Amino acid sequence: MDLLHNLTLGFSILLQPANLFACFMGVLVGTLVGVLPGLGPAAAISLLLPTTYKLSPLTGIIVLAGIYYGAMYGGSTTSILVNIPGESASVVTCLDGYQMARQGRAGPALGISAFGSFIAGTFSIIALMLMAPPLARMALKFGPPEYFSLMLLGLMILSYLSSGSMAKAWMMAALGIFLGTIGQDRMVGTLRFNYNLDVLMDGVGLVPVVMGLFGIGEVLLNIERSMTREIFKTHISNLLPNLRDWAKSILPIIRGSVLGFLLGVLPGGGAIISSFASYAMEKKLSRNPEKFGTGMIEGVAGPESANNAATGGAFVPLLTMGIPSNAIMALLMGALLVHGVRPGPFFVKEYPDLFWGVITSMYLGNAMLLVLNLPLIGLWVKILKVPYPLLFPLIILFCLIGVFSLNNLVSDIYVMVIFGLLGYLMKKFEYDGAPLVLALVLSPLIEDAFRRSLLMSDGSFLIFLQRPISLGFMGVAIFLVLSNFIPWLRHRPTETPQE
Amino acid sequence: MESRKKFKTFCFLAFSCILFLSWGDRSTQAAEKDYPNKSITLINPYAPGGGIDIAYRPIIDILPDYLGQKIVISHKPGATGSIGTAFAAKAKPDGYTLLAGSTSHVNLAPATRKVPYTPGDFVSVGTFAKAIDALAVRPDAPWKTLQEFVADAKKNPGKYKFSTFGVMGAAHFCMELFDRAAGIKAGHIPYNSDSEALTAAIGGHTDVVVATVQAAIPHLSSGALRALAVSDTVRYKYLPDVPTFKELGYDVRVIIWFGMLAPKGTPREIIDKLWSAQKKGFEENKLPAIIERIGMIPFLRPPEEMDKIIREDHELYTKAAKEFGFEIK
Repeated sequence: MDLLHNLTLGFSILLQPANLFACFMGVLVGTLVGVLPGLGPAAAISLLLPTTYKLSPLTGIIVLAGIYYGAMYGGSTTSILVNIPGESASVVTCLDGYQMARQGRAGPALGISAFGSFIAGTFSIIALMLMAPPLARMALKFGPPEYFSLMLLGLMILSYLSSGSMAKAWMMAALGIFLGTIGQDRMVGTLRFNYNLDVLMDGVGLVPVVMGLFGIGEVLLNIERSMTREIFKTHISNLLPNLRDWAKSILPIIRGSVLGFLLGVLPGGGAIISSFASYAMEKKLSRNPEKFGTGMIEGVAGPESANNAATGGAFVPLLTMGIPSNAIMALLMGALLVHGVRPGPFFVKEYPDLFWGVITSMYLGNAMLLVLNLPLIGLWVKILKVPYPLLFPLIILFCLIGVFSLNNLVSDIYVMVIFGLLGYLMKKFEYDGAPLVLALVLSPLIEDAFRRSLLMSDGSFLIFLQRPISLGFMGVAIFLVLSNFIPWLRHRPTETPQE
Repeated sequence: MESRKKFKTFCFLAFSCILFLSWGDRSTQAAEKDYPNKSITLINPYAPGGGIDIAYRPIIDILPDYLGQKIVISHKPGATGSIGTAFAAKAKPDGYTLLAGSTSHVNLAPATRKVPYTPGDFVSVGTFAKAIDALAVRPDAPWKTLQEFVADAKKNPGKYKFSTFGVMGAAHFCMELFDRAAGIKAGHIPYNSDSEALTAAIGGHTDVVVATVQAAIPHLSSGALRALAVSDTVRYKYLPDVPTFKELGYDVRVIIWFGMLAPKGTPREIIDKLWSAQKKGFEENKLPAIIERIGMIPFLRPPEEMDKIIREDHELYTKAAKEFGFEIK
C-alpha cells in the first residue's frame, strides 16, 4: 500500500545517526523546556533556530518539532508537583494534578499524563498521515464568523472550569477579556490602555500572567499557610497509575486526543484552548462533576492528551497548505524558509522525504519521550519531599529567570509579580484563575474574529447566522448557556460546596 | 615582616596599574583603519523567526567571508519594531552596531505614529534585497485583469474587500495608493500575518489579497490564487505574465527594501568597507544566489542612492499617511 511505502521511506531516512540524534536532542530539550516554568517551546525554538541553520532541513525540523511536542510532555510535571504551569497549555493540569499530588498521588498523575500524551501524540500522527488534506480543506472554510462562533463557544465552557461560584468565574473571565484588550488594536492600530508605555504595546503577555497567578500566587499562599500547611503525604503510594486509574482515564484520553487534534488543526486553535476544552468536556460528562478540582484523574488525563494531540494537529495546515496555525508553526516555517524550502500546497509532492521524515520522527519522538519521562517520575516525586522553606525560593528563582528569558524585558517580571499578588488575593477570596487565563487567551481571537466578520458583512450581525458552520457553533453555545439555568437540562447545581 | 608587607602592597598596586592601563582606551583613531576587528552586532527589532531573520540570512552567511569578522544578530523586539530601532539609533557610530533595516520600521513606523527616531538618524550602508507585494484574487473570480476589477469596483463602491497583513503596513499602503489611483473604494480587513490574509482569500472570506510575493508564490503556482499585479517598477522574474501597477497606468510603487543601517555619524571609511563587501558578494554571485533561494529579489543599491530612496519614501509615506488618515493614536 502506498502509505506503507511512504512510511518505509520515512523511516529509512530517519534511521540515520544524525537524524536519530537530532530527534533525541529535540525531545530532551523539549522536556527540559517544558519542565522549566516560563521558558516555553516558542522561546526555546526561537533561541535554537539559528543553530539549526547549519543542519539539513530535515534534521533541523526534527529537532524543532521534537522541542515542541516534548515541551507538552514536560509541561505537566511542574503543574502537578508545584502548581506552576511549565508552559501555558499545562495550566489546566494544575487544577486537578496538583490536588492529586497533595494527596500523595503525584506518581499516578505524572504517569497517566505521560501515557496519555503518548497515546494522544501517536493518534494525532496517524490522523495527520491519513486525514491531512481533507482536514486542511475543511479548515479553509473557517472564516472570521466561524472563528467567532467557535471562540464564543469556547468562552461558554468557562462555566465548567470553576468549582466554585459561577458568578465569580464570569467576573474573572470579564477581567481576562479586559486584560486581553491591552495593547495595540489589530484592526485600526490604536493603542489601548498602554499608558504610553512601549512595553505594553504588545499587551500584557500570557506567560507572565499565568506564572504570576498560578506560580507566585500559590507560593505566597503557601508561605502564609506554612504553619498549618500539611506536608505532602510523604508516603507516595505508587509511582504508576493502577488499574482503576486506567479504567477511569482511558475514555478521557481518547476524547482528549480527538478534540485536541481537531482544535489543533484550526489555525489559531492550539494546545491551550484544547486543554481547557477537554477539561470542560470531562467535567460535563463525568458522573461526579463536583469532584473536579479535588484530584480527579480524568482532569489530568483528558487535558494532557488534548494538548499533545493539538501539536500533531497543528502540523496539518503547515504541511498540507503552507499555512502556519500558530506562532510555533510560524517559527518552523521560518526555519524551512531559511533553507529555501517553501511549505505550500505541493509540499508532500515536492519534498516527500522531508514530509515523511518528519512524520516518522514524530512517532519515534513520542516513543522516546515516554521512555524518558517514566523513569523520571521517581526523581520528580522526590522533589516533593524537599522541605518547603527550601523549595519555594527555588521555585521563585526559576519563575523569575523563566519569565525574563522570554523577551529580556524587566517589565515581564513586574507583570508576573503583580499578578502573583493578584493570584494570592484571588486564592484567598476563592476566585478561580482558570477562567481568567482562558478569557485572556480568547480575548484577542474573539475580538479580531468579531470585527473582521462585521467588516465582511458591512456591519450586519446576521452574518453569524447566515453561515451554516457558524450557526451550528452559535446554537451549541446558546444551548450550553441555557442548560445552566433550565433545571431539567442541568446535570449539576451551579454552585458547589467549597472544599 | 614590615618590608615584606610593603613589597606585597607595591606588587598589588603595580599589578592594578598594569591591569587598569591595559584595560584602558582601546585606541580609536586606528579603529577605522582596521575595521572590523571584532564581531559586528546586527540589531533585529523583531522576535526571532520573523521576516527579518529570513531576509538577513544572506548577510549573516556570506558577508563575514568578505569582512573577516562574524555578524551576530541581536533581537530586541517590541512595539512593532520601534524599541529595537530606537536602540540602534542611539548606538555608538563606530560600525559595530548596525540596524537590520527595512521599510516597515524605518519608513512606515515614523509616518504613522510617534516614535523616538526618524529615518534621518541613520545612514545607509547599502541595500541588498527587496520584497514586493502582489495583488491576487481567486481563480474563480470574475475578473481576469486588474482593469476588469477596477471597472467592477467603480460600479460597486465598498462592496469588495481586501485582506492584508497588518494595519498600516506596506501592503495596506499599497492597496490604499492603488484605490486612490484607480478611483475606487474597497473595504480593508487586516489579518495578523501574510499567511492568514492569503488563507482568507483562498477560502473565500475576502475578495482580494495584497501580500508579499514570496508568501504568495506557492499559492500562485498551485493555482489557488491568481495575481493581477505586482507593486514594483519592473515585472517579477518568476511571474513574467503579471503586469506592474505602473504598467497598467496606476502610479503605485511599493517596495520593501532590506539594507543595513548605521547610526548617523559613522565614519565614511566604515560605510565604504561594508558597502564594498556587499558589492563583492554580488559580483561573485554569492549573495544573489541565497537571496533568490529564500524568495527575495536581489537588489543592490549603494549607500548614497539608498539614503535618497529612504528620504523619498519617508516623504511619500508621511504624505500618504496624512491623506489616508493613517495615524496610530
